[in-house]
Amino acid sequence: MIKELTRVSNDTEFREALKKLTAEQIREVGALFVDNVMSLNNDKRVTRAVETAHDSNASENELTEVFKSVKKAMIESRTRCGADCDWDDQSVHFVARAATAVVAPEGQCKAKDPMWQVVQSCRMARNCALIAVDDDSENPEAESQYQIFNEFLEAT
Amino acid sequence: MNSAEFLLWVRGPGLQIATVIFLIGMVLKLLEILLLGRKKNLAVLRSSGVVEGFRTIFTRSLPADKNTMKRSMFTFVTGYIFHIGLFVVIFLLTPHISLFKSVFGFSWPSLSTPVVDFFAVATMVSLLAILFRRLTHPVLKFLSRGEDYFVWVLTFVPLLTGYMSYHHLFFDYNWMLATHILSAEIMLIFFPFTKLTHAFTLFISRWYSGSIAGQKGVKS
Amino acid sequence: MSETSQATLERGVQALKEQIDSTTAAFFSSCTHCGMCADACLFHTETGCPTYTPIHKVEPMRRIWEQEYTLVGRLKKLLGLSKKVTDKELEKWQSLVYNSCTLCGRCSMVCPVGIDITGLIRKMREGMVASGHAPEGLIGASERAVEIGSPMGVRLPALQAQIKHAEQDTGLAIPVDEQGAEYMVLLSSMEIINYPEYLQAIAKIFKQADKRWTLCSEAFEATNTGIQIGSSDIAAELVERVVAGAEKLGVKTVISPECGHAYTALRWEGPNLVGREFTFKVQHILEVLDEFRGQGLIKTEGVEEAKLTFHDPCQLVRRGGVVEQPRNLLNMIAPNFVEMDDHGTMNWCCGAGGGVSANEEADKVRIKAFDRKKHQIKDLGVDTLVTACANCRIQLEDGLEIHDMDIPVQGLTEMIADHLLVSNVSKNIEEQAS
Repeated sequence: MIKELTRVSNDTEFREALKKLTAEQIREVGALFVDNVMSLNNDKRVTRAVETAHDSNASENELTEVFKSVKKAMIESRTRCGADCDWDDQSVHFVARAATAVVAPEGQCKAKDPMWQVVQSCRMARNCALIAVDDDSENPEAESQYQIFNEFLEAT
Repeated sequence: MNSAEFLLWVRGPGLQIATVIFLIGMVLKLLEILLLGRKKNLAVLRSSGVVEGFRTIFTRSLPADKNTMKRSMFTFVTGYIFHIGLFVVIFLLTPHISLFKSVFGFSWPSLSTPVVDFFAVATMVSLLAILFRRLTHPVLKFLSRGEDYFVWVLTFVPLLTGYMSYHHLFFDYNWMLATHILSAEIMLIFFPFTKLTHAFTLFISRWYSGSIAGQKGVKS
Repeated sequence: MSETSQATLERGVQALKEQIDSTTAAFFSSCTHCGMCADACLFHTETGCPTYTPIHKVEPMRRIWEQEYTLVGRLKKLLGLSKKVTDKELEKWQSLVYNSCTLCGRCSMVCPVGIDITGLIRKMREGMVASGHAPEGLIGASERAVEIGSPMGVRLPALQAQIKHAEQDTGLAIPVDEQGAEYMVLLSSMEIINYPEYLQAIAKIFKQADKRWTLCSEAFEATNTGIQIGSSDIAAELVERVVAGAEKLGVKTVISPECGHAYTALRWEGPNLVGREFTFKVQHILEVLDEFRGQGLIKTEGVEEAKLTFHDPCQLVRRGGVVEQPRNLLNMIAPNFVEMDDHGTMNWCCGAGGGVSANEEADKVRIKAFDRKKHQIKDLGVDTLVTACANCRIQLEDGLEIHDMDIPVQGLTEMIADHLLVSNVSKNIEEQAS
């Protein structure tokens, strides 16, 4: 099945290719995407969640445990209503959002499409980081994600 | 002053004084409210709100929905018992209707006195329950001011003295009757200066609320 | 020190006097202290605290009304028999007026003598601000709103970055400052920061409906902190910016986003704040979407299988009059849509509106108040919650998280966009890509 997948270079191809992944692969690839934005994170719970996602031997219990804790991290890192927005903190929130989608047990992810939630959230995290430093250059995360995905395909 | 003179006074000058104060007081109260006026609503309205205002005057007599009634069951039930009871006692008792006839020139059918008597008792019981609640329920205890208890007394005493008069209880009938009439007059005198004004102003406040909501397209 | 506080107390009392009109007088004349408003207020029902009784929240204003605008009150004042409103008192009232009230409007619906208690509390806030007794969080947000244009510090570059992200993700252009567009879309800072998907949803839906819309670089903020804090001056200033933007671009309709009070601020209070009628229409996004639906401009496919319910944002539904539209829209795509027992105009507040969520001092009582919504949800047993206000969404998510309830919360506009007939939308992505 994987051998039928070709390299992706735009979102339409990307979406189609991601749809063909198995649940395990979604977690694996998702974790790789989050790895790429991990430098924007400062919450240990997020780091732990992604580490668990990488661990193919992780039990259901362990996954549920990190899911609960990273979900909390996601809620807590959100900019509070009416408060002065710190875009770096907001960046952490989106990394957490992505990590939550990665470790969510079956059916527990809020988003309709957990994989796309990971993709979107990682891009948003990068976006927030750019806003934080007043950098208005193109968000490079999509391209990075295509690259990561293509490398993943080749490796398997 | 003996009982006959007392009775004569409360039926004559007393009644006149009380009625005049009541009428002037209520007119002043209504003017106090309406003369303040309010700014025109410049938003694009979904409805002028006029009809909804009148509608709310009626619909607000019932709770907003079933659950609201459940949550406020005590207030709803006792409130209605004593309001309906007051209406029956004041307007459907023969001697009261005679009084109105002598003032306004027309009358209407009465209810038999034993029936009205029953309503009077129900009203008093309900009022006592309300007083108990006002003294013990956390919200009511907290909210209530001296005026709330004063108005309670103003409302209760005419009922009690009327009941006692009819049943010739404890005191000489004339004294009792005169006291009853005086207590009603005292109530009339204080009426425009206490929350009793709600009997009239609620039509205005319900209308305002209904129209404010109606302008936004909300049935209130 | 005392001179300044005297001055601010005076300004507070003056502000309250200016708020009193015939409706206020009718209301205060009719209250019988029946306590039914407490039964309808979630802050009271979930805490049992009598101090949260709605009508009590405006007691200082009632006294001012009595002392200034009633014969008896003025006589009592002359005779030295009346209790003046003090600065200390207003200080004490701050938590009642700002922490334990979201201006949700339920009390106004149940008062048997028809007092619009919510409206009175809104007026009360004017006095609180003028006397210097408003919560720090809201004061900070107001200052940022006036100085920066957004209570949460969102400047144009940040919005532009989100716009770029949205364009990249959807493959659609996000119009900015398009002269003569039919619709001008406002965004709340909360949406720009936390729910960027909303902007994408708008782009997709309007593309399918083939309607011309635009953002306005000089007036993109929908949040009106002036309304939350209760300062007509600030509220008017913020509305003027939107009016200026809309008139400059010559749009027909300004769209208020998925935010509760923003709708009230612009649609209902707006013209009264700026003292003149608008030259454009104001609609909530759900009103617009429902209009599109009625005209057959929105084509959807697929359904939401989950058993879901709608949380009615108070300012939109009960205080805004947009009641049927969310239901019409949900009925398009949600066959398992069930209503809460108390729904529509009698639904319960989430506990966070009216500035409460921006007020750190209110955190504890806000979380407690959520219990009411928790019970509603548990009684119904649903898999998904749908709503149309970013603030409600945050509170719902926070509350569900605290109570370990794994129920996703979705925005209605995003949900509609997710179900748009794919062929129409993806066609554009392909066109853009090639």
